[in-house]
Amino acid sequence: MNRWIALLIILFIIVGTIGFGILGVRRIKMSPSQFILGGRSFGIIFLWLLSAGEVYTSFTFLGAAGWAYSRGAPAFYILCYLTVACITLFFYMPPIWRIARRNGLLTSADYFAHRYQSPALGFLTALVGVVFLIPYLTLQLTGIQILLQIAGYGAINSVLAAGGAFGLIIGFVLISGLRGAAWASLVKDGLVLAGVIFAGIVLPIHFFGSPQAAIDRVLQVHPNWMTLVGLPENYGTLWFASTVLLSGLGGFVWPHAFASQLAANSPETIRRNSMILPVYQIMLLLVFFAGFTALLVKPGLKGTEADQSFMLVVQEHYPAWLLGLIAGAGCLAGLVPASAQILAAASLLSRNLWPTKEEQLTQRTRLWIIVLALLAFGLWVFNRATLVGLLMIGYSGITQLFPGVVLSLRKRPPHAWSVAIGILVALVLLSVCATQGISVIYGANVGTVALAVNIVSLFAVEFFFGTPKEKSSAQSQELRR
Amino acid sequence: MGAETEPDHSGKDGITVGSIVVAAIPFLALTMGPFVANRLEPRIFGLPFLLAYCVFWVLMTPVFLFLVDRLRKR
Repeated sequence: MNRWIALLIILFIIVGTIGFGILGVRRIKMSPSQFILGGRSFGIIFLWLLSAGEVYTSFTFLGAAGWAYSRGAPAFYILCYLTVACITLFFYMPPIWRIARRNGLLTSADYFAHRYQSPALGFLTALVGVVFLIPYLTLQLTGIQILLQIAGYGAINSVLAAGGAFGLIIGFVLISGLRGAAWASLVKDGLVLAGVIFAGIVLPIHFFGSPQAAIDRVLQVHPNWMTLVGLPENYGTLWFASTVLLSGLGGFVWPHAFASQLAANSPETIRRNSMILPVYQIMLLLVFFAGFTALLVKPGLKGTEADQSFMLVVQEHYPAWLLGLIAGAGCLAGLVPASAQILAAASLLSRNLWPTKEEQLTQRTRLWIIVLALLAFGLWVFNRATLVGLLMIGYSGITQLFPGVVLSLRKRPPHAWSVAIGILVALVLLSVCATQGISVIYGANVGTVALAVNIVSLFAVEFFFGTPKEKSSAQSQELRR
Repeated sequence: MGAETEPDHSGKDGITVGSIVVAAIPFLALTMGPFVANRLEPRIFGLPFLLAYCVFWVLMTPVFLFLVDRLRKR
């Protein structure tokens, strides 16, 4: 009985959100620019909703609590890196937006191809974007599966159920494009906020009297839980700093995050959004409290089970309808970003990897969405165990595009080949480390080390092989216009 | 997209050395934070010092970015 109540509530939430999103776009004709970028018309509220909607994924909802549960203080990096991402976004995105608008650029790879006058670089960055988005997408599937498994009290096939939820959201994004995702974010952000307030404030008060008391209790059991003490207990300070830097720089280089900023209606909107977005991070504090509470109430979860931490507490101690509401919010936290991610990956395919004519672009993007959805689901079903590892590579990988983004804004950008070689060298290094199972080098995140190698190679190639370019004067004027 | 009829967003972004220095303060505080703040005490509102430090700088970031925006428009 219980499981049907919880699952019905989740189904109602998902279908209701999709319906709301479709309602929001019902009178809109889906030109490519509308489908992929919402017609570049999002004001501050819409842009904020979409950015917040994309940033708070299953990883934030379950993973941040899971990290607070299984690792302690290293989880705080999530709070810091998203803020660092906002600071960098404030500077580099407004000029990119202007160039993109003037030239009708729709994707991050479009921008690379245009600004570096190199379709080859556009192809490479599109490939990197798609390859690293797939593990990110499958992570959302894992999050949804965990929630459905808990909400179904273990009695349903959660893999199939997650596939069903994924199918619903794919259908949704096929109809409504990015604008629909922004509407869906409205519902999602509200519900997730409510769920997080419950998990982060009500849970600790119920069990311990206050969040502060919960922290005190954690410290009694695990004295080192709230500081970085280094391996083997948790990660050290250098890991923390390098990971904040890596993820912070890469935060909006993700193709879906980049596209969401191009959807703004002006550079001013982008700046305002990056000013207010950090405040939303405070929600993460409550997610940490939820993780700490779960650590005390339900200790002993190992490995990936830690991601289920506070949801298991809700399942054991609260009625099914409440479990359904919170799990429903969590499902949206996976599904809404997944819709934006798959749209971004599909547009990279239809625009940059396998270019098609403007008139067919919307249809072709839709086709790629279906192909990618099947591919991601297939990969996920057959290979779920290693995906958390893949995600770490994903974050390390996507940030390698960051030097190219920033240097493109110089009056004389480097040569496309320098950027490409920097990216390739870094990716080779990352792949070698991944096959060796190395994720930390001398205490630093391997992605940050690769980023440094990337930048050094970029400048080395530029220094030795870069020739003075005649085109650079046109490139530098473009910035000022 | 009818770019001609859209409002004009041209003009420089007004990013100066000064504005980058102002923005670098929260940036460095957040990335380098654990080197100076990796402590449990003093607890602030019950939060361990490291967590309180992160929260403080997250909340200060909008203030600094607002300042940058002011500098930019001047």
